[in-house]
Amino acid sequence: MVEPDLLIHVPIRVRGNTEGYDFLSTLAAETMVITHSKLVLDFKQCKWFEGNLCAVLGSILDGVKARQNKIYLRGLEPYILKAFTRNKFLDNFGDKPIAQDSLTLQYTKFGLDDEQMAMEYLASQLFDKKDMPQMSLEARKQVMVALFEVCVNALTHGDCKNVYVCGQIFPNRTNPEVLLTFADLGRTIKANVNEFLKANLSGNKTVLWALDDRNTTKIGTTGGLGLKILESLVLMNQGSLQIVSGDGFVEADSGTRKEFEMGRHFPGTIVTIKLRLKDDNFYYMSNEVKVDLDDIF
Amino acid sequence: MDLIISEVIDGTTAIAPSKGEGVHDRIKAALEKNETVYLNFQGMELMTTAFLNSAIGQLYSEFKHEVLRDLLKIRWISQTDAVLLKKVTDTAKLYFSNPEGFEGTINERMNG
Repeated sequence: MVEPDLLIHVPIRVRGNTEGYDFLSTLAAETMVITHSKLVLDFKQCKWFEGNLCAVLGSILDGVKARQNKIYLRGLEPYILKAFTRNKFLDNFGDKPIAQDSLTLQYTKFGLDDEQMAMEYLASQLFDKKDMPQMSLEARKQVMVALFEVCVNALTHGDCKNVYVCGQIFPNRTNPEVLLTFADLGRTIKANVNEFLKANLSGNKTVLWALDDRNTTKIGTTGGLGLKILESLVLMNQGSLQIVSGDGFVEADSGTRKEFEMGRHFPGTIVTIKLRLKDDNFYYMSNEVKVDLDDIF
Repeated sequence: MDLIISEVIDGTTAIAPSKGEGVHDRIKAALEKNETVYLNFQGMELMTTAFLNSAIGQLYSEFKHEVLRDLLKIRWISQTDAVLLKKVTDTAKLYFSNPEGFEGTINERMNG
């Protein structure tokens, strides 16, 4: 048995809520400074770990690994072990690869130069899955654009090398849905917005600011459309969108934005998107707004 | 001038803003010579607003809106991309008509 330099107990449930994100924030904070050490993550008490949150766990553990630490995952319930293996998460943290489960969007990471890989990932992991209803090409394109806007935001505003992604498909729920999480450990929305506004707003207020159409922290140029595009897509689909950054945690659901109190500070940004899979609006998404090509410029 | 976007970026996906720089530079050079530029988006599979801001949005800081309206033409574009491009140009027109005012309004709204 490995004698850990740092032992962290994973709580009974890790979901996309305040408790789950607080745990991941604590994990990020406590592992940030260790080098050349043995980290043991003890899952003995853990009965549920939402598969898509492997994106966040991976973003943290990737950094731990890069700082020359050894990571040991201990006491995983058989079904959690299976889930972590089937979404390929454990391929990256020492386990033997096995065939991927068709209901997962495998854990991976993208950099700014990985456009083709990212396109192929979304095609193979999401759109071309056998359980996915057929979408029109334009609808598919609109979803892809919205998801890539998130990745670009993370990589450019967060000024980080990689964005981590993982997802889970739930075809048997009353409303079949997919949960997809993007995570990065770059500059937080709170830091960027407060620097830009020369303000000292709370994490929630900065996330709300970033969600407003046309607000951008880029200086001397335009932007600020990406998150709004994603929020509009989610609203039309009757899905939901969670953004966690610093001590901010905002959820957009059914046209309203809810703020949550985080107990901890996440040193990056997490975006979790829930899309309903059997929504006619979504699958036959038409461009109700026709743009006059002579009136664009 | 015909500007085939997929040829300039050497691909059919344009996600990162850095890909827009080459497109922007080609358009800018033509506009400086008062040439009409036909932007041809045929074959483009996917573009983000980050790319479109970099390729086209920033032109509004360098040329008058009237010049862009008269000299930029679109040869082919999908409706999805046209909607995105319109969002980008509308934002750019608003922003570059009064950048200090635009940023000032945002600051005022947040800081009271």
